[in-house]
Formats: sequence, C-alpha cells, structure tokens
Amino acid sequence: MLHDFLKTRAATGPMTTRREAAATRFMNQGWPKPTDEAWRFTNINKLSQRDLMPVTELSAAETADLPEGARLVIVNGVMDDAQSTTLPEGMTLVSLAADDSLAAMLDDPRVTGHAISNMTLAVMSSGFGIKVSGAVDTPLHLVFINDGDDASAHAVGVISLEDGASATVFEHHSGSGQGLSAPLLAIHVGAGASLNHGRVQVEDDARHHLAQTVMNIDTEGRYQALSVQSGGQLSRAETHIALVGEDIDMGMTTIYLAHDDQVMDVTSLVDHRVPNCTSRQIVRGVLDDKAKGVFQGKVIVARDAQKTDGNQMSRALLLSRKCEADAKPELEIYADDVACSHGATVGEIDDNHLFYLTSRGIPKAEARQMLIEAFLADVLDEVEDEALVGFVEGAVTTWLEGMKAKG
Amino acid sequence: MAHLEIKNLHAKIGDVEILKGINLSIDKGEVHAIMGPNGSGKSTLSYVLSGRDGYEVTEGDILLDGESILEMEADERARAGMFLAFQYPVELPGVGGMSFLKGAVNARRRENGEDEIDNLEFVKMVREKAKSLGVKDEMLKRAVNVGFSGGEKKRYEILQMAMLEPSMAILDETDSGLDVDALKVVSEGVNALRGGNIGMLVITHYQRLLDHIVPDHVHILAGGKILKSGDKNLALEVEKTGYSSFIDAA
Repeated sequence: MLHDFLKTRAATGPMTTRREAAATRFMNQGWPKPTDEAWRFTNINKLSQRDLMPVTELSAAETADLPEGARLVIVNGVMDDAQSTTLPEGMTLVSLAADDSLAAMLDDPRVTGHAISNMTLAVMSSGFGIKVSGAVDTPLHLVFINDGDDASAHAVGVISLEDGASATVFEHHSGSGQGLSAPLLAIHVGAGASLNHGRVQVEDDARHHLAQTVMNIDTEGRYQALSVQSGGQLSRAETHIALVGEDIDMGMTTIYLAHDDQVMDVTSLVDHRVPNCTSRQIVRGVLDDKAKGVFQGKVIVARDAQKTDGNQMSRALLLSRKCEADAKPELEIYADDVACSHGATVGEIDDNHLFYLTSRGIPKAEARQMLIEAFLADVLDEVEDEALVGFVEGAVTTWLEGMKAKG
Repeated sequence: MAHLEIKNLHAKIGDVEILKGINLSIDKGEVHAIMGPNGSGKSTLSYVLSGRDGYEVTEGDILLDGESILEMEADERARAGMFLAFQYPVELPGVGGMSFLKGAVNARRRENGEDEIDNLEFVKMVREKAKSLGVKDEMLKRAVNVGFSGGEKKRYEILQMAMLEPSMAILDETDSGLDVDALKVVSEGVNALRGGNIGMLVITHYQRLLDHIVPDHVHILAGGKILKSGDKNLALEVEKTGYSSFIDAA
C-alpha cells in the first residue's frame, strides 16, 4: 500500500526533490527487518505488513487538553494552524520549502540512511521549521495528536538554535486508534546555545510509535533532555546526537514504562567527534506483566576526541517474571585519553529494601509502590531543570496510579 | 504473661537449622541482652522475630501479649508493636526520608483507627526527636540512609524507633561500626526510650554496648540455643573469659 502511494503521489510542491529521493531510498530499503542489527530486539514485521495509508491533509482528531502557553499543534503529521498559537518572542516559524538551510539538515546521513525516516520524508506534508535566536524563556509546546486505525502520521520538524540562543521545547505525543506515528525531528544547537528538551509519549496502547530525533550540538553548547514514554503497543524513540564542537555538556534522561504486552525501545547514538565534551545518558525502565524493554545505546569517541567524558547507564526494573529486558550498551572508542563508562542492569525489587519498609509497618503493596516510585524519583531528582521535571511528572504519576489501581 | 514470649523456637534457612529451641520471656520495662559469638544465630533470631521472609519456623511459637505472631507478615508485626533496629540499615535511593517516616507513622495510626497525622504536627515531632538524637535537619531531607555515615544510620534507626513508639524493640548489633562518641549518642537515645511501655532485646557481640545500655538480664546464645542466663554481671564474665568457656561447659 505504501509503495503504491509513493508511486502515485504527484511530484509537485515543496521539498519535492528531497521527498522523491527519500521515496526511492525507502523503496530500495524496505521496512527494517529483525535481521538488521539495529532492529534485532524490536520486531516490526507485523506493522510493515499492514495496509497503512499516510495522512497528508489535516483531519479532525480529538484535540482536548491542549497545553497552555505557546504551542504548535500537529494533527496526524499536519500543522493545525487554528489550534496553534503564535510563537514566543525570539522564535520564528519558517517553511522548510522556503528555507533550505533548515531543510538541509534532513540530508544528514543519519536521516537518509534510516528506513523509517526515509518513509516519513517521502510521505510528509509540508513539515515545519523553527528558528531560535536569543534567550527565549517561554517554553514552546509541540503537540502531536494522531488517530485512525490504518493511518500513518509523519510529522517532520527542524529546529535550529542560533549561536548563543536558549530555549525550552516540550514534545507531547498522544493519540488513539491502531495507526502508526513516525515523527522525525532534526535539531541544531548552535555554539554556546542551550536547549532543554522534554518529551512525553502517552499514545493509546494500541498505536505504534517510531520516532527519530537527529541532533548536532556545536561548541560550548548545552543540551538537557528528559523523556518519558509509556504509550503504544510498540514504541521506539531513537536519538542520534553528534557533538561537533568542543566543550559541550549534554545530559539525556529517558524513562520508559510498560505493562501488558507493550514493547518499549530506547535507542541512542552519541557521537563524540571532537575533544573535551561531556555526555551523560541515564535510562530507567519499569516493566510489568509481559512487557518488553529494549535499550540500545552507543557512544562513539572519535580518534581526535580526547578528554571525552561519556557515561551511559541503563537500569530496568522487572515487576513480573514474564517480562523481558534487552540491553545493548556499546562503547566505540578510538581516542586514548578518555573517561567513559557504561552499564546496564536488569533486576527485580530488592528484598532487603522491601523488608526494611515493611519492618516499619508499611504494608507490602504500598512498600512496593514506594520502591517503584523511588526507582524513578532517583533519576528525576538529578535533573536540575525543574520545568523539565514538571513537564514529565504527570505522565509518570498517571502510569504509577494506573498500576496501583490494577493492584 | 510476659509481653513477648519465645517458646522452644526452632527455625531454619533452607535446610540449615539455625535456631534450635530458644525460650525467652521479655516484659515491658525490661531490657534483655543476647550475647553470642559469630554464627550463633543472633541475627537470625532478630529476623525471625520481625517476620522476614526466607526463614522457616519448624517448631515452637512467638507470642506477643499471648497471641501468636507466627502467621503475621513483617508489616503486621510492626503495626502490632514490634520494631527492629537493623545492624546494617539499607540505603533507599529515591525514597524521601520525610515521606518514609510519615508513611510508617500513618500505617501505625491507621491500624489503631486513628486519623493520619497532621503535617505540621508531624514535622514538629520529627524535628524535636531528631534534635535530641543529633540527627541533622539536612539528613531528614535526604533519601533514606543515602550518604549517611555508619553513626548517622544508627541514629536514624533510633529516630524511627522514637517516632513509631514500639512496645517491643530489637536492637541488632546497634554498636557495630560506631566509634565511642557515636555509641554514647545512640545509647543515650535508647536509654531515653526505656521505660514501662517498652520491652527491649539488645543483641550484641561485645560487652561494651552494655556499659551504656545496662541490661536487666543477659543471655548467652551459641549454636542456636541459650546456654546461660544471668544479670549484667554475666556480660562482664563473657568479656573476661570469652565465649568458649560457656560453649565448652554446655
């Protein structure tokens, strides 16, 4: 179906060349298969065999509960002007067709080599670009709302922070039905610029979510990300970050929460291309019932990237004996003067911890709940930006409450 | 009828029998000390009394005010008045100290049919008790036991005991890892809680703790059995002659 759609699509409109090239690449590549190393743990065969029809025009998905403040609302991959607000002072909305310097970020090999991103580029509507200059204090909410059972939504956005700019961007992903959400974001953090990036993915449990974020961070850039995903039958959030200038400080905290037979995939690549940068990645997953969690994290340190400080730690908490956690942490280091570490643990609630709480009279079920919350609170406490924590907290609390109600 | 009665208690972990028939009666107002060498079953006794999973009672009974507590889970026993001060208090990253203390206090109050504690009243109560035990405000704000020194952990145990007002407290090697000054502070805290409403069982390897928390009764535990009971002078005797003289005599 998708292939037919690509063949019949009229070759007019903005970004046409880019789209056609992406379509050709996708038709040659096809969907990712379990034999592809990057997709070894997350099987999307069933999804790829479905008759998904890309949505290219604005549809009227349920849009209750829009966040207050400055926002762009993207419904099934298409910008909803009526529900969006003006951007905060310092941010400019630009068309990708009109600004090729922004659109060119989509030519990055990390995008063009990625099957799902090629598919998204091939069938996207106009996409959006945001330029940020100066210090923008007001957060921008990017609200992605998708629906439909056989529909696929392909939002494409490019965000560029000029040198010295600072901004906060909050991504909301929600939706209903059994369709596919495949958003693609490209982000540039200029020299001395600073981005706080929150992301919450709480789509209905029957949806599929395959997201890719590709970033470049320049000299003395600062990036702090905090993301929570708990939605979707199958959800994969892929982040590819290249550190292209020295003295960068970046941290990325990712939480995934899953129950029933959900599959949650966190895949990241942090590419230290130059010396003297620091990257910290923390992943925490809570799995219940028959859920499956996947963490694939790779840190590359180029030959010249001396004095790199790169850390990565993933921990999964298994609440049932039937769930599964796969972890593939990788360090690929070509420099000789670096301080890098990585680790991945999978464990159950510690009996010693449980006994300590119950020996104080706290009932066992309550004690378990306290320890699950603590497992997440522990990493949230370490995120300095309170607005980021505030943004994701609701999603974590809702999930924990749902679990408590289930008993 | 004593407050706590341990009758012919046998317990094992897996296939290994650790406790081989312990008899002990502790009344409110009394402080009993159990002394024993490593591997005598001291810690097992404290865990079996407080209801930790993994231990099987094969014979005998534990009665609290005449009622068997063997079928009760650890949390039920705690709400019934039992308290264990841990030899090695565990660190609980992410569990805020204040919400932990409040959760424990409220679990107890719910059990007694009381309303949950008022927030201001709770904070005032914690501060007061913490101050007398030398527990700093800053420690209360941290996650439970995280980053605490050995002495701070033990003081925090006694603070919990003061907050929960148990009727039967078991202090498992409270002196381990403490220097003389910390030992004094902790002992003063324990002594302040002594009285007619609480029975205490102090478990220790060394006599020195009993210089500070002077017991009414002393029992020598070895090989899973109480070999000899006496008053505080028995502890001094152990200090002089060592455990082997008792074990050989038995």
